[in-house]
Amino acid sequence: MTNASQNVSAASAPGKEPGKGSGKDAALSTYTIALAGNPNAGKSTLFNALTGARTHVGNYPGITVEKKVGQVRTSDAVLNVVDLPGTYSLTAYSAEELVARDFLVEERPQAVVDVLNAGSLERNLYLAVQFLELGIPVVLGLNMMDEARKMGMVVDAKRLGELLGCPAVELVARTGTGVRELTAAATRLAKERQGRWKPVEISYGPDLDPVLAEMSAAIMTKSFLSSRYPARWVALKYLENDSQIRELGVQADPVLSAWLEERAAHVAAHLRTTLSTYPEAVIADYRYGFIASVLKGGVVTRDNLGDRLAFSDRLDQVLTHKLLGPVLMLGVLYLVYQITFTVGKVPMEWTQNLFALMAKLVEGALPEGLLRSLLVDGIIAGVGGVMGFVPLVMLIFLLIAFLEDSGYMARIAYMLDRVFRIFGLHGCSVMPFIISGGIAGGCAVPGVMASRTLRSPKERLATILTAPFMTCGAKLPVLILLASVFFPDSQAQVLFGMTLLGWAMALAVAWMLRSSMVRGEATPFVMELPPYRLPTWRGLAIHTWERTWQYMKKAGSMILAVSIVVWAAMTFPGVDEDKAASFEAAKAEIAAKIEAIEAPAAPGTAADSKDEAPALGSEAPAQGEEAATAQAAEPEGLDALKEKLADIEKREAAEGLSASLAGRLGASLEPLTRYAGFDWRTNIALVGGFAAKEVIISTLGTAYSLGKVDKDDAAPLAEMLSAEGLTVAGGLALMVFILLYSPCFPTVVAIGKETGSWKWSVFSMTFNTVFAYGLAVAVFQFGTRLF
Amino acid sequence: MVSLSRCPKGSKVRVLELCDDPKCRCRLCSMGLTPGVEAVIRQDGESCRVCVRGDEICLGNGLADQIKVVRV
Ligand SMILES: Nc1nc2c(ncn2[C@@H]2O[C@H](COP(=O)(O)OP(=O)(O)O)[C@@H](O)[C@H]2O)c(=O)[nH]1
Ligand SMILES: [Mg+2]
Repeated sequence: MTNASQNVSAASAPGKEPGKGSGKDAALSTYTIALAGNPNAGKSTLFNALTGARTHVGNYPGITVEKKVGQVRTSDAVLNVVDLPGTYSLTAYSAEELVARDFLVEERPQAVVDVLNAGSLERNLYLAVQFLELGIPVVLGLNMMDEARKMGMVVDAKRLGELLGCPAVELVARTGTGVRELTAAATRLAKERQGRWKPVEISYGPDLDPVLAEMSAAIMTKSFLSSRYPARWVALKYLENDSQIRELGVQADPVLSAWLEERAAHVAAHLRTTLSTYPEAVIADYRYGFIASVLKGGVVTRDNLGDRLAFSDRLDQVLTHKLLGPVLMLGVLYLVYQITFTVGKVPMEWTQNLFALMAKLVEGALPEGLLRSLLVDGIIAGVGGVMGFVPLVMLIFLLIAFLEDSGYMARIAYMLDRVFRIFGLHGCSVMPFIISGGIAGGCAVPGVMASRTLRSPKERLATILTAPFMTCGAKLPVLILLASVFFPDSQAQVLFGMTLLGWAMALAVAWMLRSSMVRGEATPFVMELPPYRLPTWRGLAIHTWERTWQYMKKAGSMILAVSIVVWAAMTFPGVDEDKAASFEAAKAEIAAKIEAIEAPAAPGTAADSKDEAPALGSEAPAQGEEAATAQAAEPEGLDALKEKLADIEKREAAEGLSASLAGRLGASLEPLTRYAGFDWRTNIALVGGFAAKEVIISTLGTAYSLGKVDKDDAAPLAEMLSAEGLTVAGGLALMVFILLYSPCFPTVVAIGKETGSWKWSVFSMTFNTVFAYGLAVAVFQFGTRLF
Repeated sequence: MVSLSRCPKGSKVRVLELCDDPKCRCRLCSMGLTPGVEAVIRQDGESCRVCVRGDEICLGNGLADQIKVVRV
């Protein structure tokens, strides 16, 4: 599959190759090819078919919309394929459309591949027409030909290409059919045009054409914005009220810009009074007219007029039914949890056992000391704690990918718009919420970024500030762990309840914000509903893997670093010298007594036990049994002594932890967190969790395992927590607090960037923490009284 | 002339007027909903689903109220 695009020149029609190029190729030429198209046209699928696994995900410069770049090698060129955000148009409606447009005019790729849904050419060509007007070299990729044929549609790609003056290739991105021809056509076009743009002129009728001509002439004489945009295109944008072009215009030439705006306003008023319509509508009307005339010229013929949406419509009568729809939606989300926990439990135990085994091996191989403690308590406990959840996280990502690719996710947004309105949010807030972990397992950083599809700054701000309340993939393991300790028989239910609580709190806070600090008008919601489709295994696998890999990479870098820092903070400076000496003295005293009793049985250990007092604890039980049988006369005295020794060591370790940097911090917070039922060790984990929520679980592990002596009896953290006296009420309060408190550091940075003000970063840190604390105290206090 | 949100399920309508916000008008046009186009109501009400130019779009609260149509 990854090599689908190789040997492209062999596959391309040789006769059509322009004179040069096909001969000797000393060095491969490199071209940048942009992939564009309407949402759901199959862009991602095509991108994967083109580039296989060799992709690089980054961000567009200065903004945080995800940018995927992949390389395709053909026999005569290297293509750098850039995936643009899905758009319907090149207006300045949303940040995504601006990203697509700015990329095209600033980077000037050698060609654009416009991915079209062949079953819905009329609407999909609307974007293609705008590329042609911009003049950029375009290749039309007629995707989903399989669906179109099934409907009885015959599309003449060659004729379409001729009529529009650009190559057109038939594709089935799902199976990779036509992908070779597409790369060949793109390479050929890039070679032919050598970066030259040829704007196409479309007539906009008697009302607009004269004005457009007048405006373009003025633009041309002043070379206004001409380094980037064709003159007629700029004129059109003035008529369409394009805010970004107008801003650029004011900077470039305020006088001309004012004149253009005045002309545009004049035309708009004229259309309003004589035809009661708007310039945008007239422009769109003529574009669709142009498309219709092209399609009539023998491009599309239909055998039977089958409705390709008939099946989806029948499903939607049930799935988006006014009453039944939301009930079924809850059912589907609940099912996601059930499947995850019943199926995911087994492999999760395997990976966790694997790390436990690793810890044992390292413990056996290394002598007691700082290095062993760093490896076992710091790195293996920290990274292992996070990696152990990989199977579970993978399963959740898989199910989310299924919901996305099948088209059901769009229905969720549609149904929830009605609910979101009430709380001052927008249907488009659903995606940021879901990506942040609305279906547990997301991440708030891309979630916050996904808010860019929202147009109203107020709705966007409210979405950004509330999305971090969702159950992200990092909080998930901690919540699962706590659920398994306190509610072992109903984990899925508790997790589902936590997710609902996240939603409820996000909506409640959004409502609070929207009726106080971020008041403002609601903006309209409009979205396309793609037909239901059965996802492919390949597509699901790629989506799941991409996200799981991100999770694992984070565990290997960020979490690793934080684990080491946290371990150090929990180890140093340790107990002070006087105390250490008194512990040593006490231990030596008891050790000497034990030695005296044991001396006849085990003469060899006497010398060692003095030097390595701490190690004695773990060696003791085995020897103790021997001694007990050998000297049945004094069993009680010996056992009591051993117990005393273990007790002293336990106290030493605990004092070491509480004397450490992290311990002091945790203890200093205890007077406050006591009301919520958190002890100082939990506080350490919660503070560490600010760096990344995954750290909570690893830090809890480290805090509780450092504080105990007998590591052979490596009880899982879950058991330790309940053994250490955390009550059900305390556990519940902790879960609530972890769900809602300050977003992690990367999210706080993303919030600052996306809102353009660090004020909101500080706000989300403090507000969320105070809010979470209040709720946790309430839960703990009520809970303790109830149970 | 009635609001889109008032049209019963299954009815066929012709669009007369779009919303007041020019940016939103641009968006509706680019998604195929232009003045003069015919649409079929798939689900009625304030949040409705309409089929236009062979695809389905959904319109949220408020928007469907502003769009004026005639039954055909
Ligand atoms: N039948 C068919 N389905 C396709 C084809 N290409 C993509 N799809 C499906 O269309 C849906 C949307 O595709 P996707 O690549 O996510 O679209 P994007 O939004 O443009 O990135 C997915 O369910 C794909 O499996 C195709 O050629 N034929
Ligand atoms: Mg996609």
